[in-house]
Amino acid sequence: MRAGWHARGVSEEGRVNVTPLIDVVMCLIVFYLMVGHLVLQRRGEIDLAETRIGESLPSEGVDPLTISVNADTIEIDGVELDPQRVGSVVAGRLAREPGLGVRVRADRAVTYSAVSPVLSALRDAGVGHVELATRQIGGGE
Amino acid sequence: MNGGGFRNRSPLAAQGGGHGLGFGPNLTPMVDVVMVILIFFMAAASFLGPEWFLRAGLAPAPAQDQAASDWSGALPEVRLRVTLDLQNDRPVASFEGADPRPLDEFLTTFRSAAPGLLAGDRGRTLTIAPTDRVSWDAVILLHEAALEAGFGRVVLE
Repeated sequence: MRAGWHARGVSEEGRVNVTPLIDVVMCLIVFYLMVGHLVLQRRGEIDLAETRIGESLPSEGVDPLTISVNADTIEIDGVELDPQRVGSVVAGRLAREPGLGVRVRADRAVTYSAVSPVLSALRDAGVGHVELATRQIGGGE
Repeated sequence: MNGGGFRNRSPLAAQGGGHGLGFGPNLTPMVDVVMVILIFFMAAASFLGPEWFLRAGLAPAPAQDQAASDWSGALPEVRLRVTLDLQNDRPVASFEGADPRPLDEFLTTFRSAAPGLLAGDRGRTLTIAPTDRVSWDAVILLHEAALEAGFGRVVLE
């Protein structure tokens, strides 16, 4: 009977042992904070356009070059960059790693004027095609 | 914290203090936490939704295009070109030479008519020519509609 009480978190004094509950809640809070921070860092606070179709492209062992386009910033692999330098940086990376895939993650709210210079720079650097990141409709439900 | 993850499990304590009979650390809280973390990972992955990709070609620069247009005997690739623009702050789309129509309306017609026009030929290319004022969302919408309609390749100008 004692073992049963312990197993159910009830002490002999007849009070509920809340220590495991506090442990779990504290862990949850810390975990929420860490995951939230990491996800925001990784996704760059970009609201992607939603689509019904798309491909989950494998990275094939090599991390593709990821260009994130926001309202007022352009990042390449998480590093903010001057728009004029996009072409030279991409060309440099492609010279070192021929055949490197290029992914463009643009915020759905930006105008084409924000994305167009990036695509032009890629085109000038010899990139023939890109992968445009979107979010699966219903994926967040 | 009531001894943390450890409880007094000595036989003496069991006689005098009334604790459990087992020795060693109590793993129950750790198991609780691990299970919670696992469930949270699964829920978070589902909440965030998967990221996926649409392949898009980049239209060659006009000079290259002109050089490639020197006919060498092979039939040139058939390309359809859709222009995206804004009218009264609303996106409009049109095939070359046609009157612009609101994007929603254009997409509805496009989705229903294109498969018949393509007749299963998945080698066709659609070129999207957006103006600078158009939102990226509108470009992606048209791109998606083109793939759904059966175009094999979508190119951004």
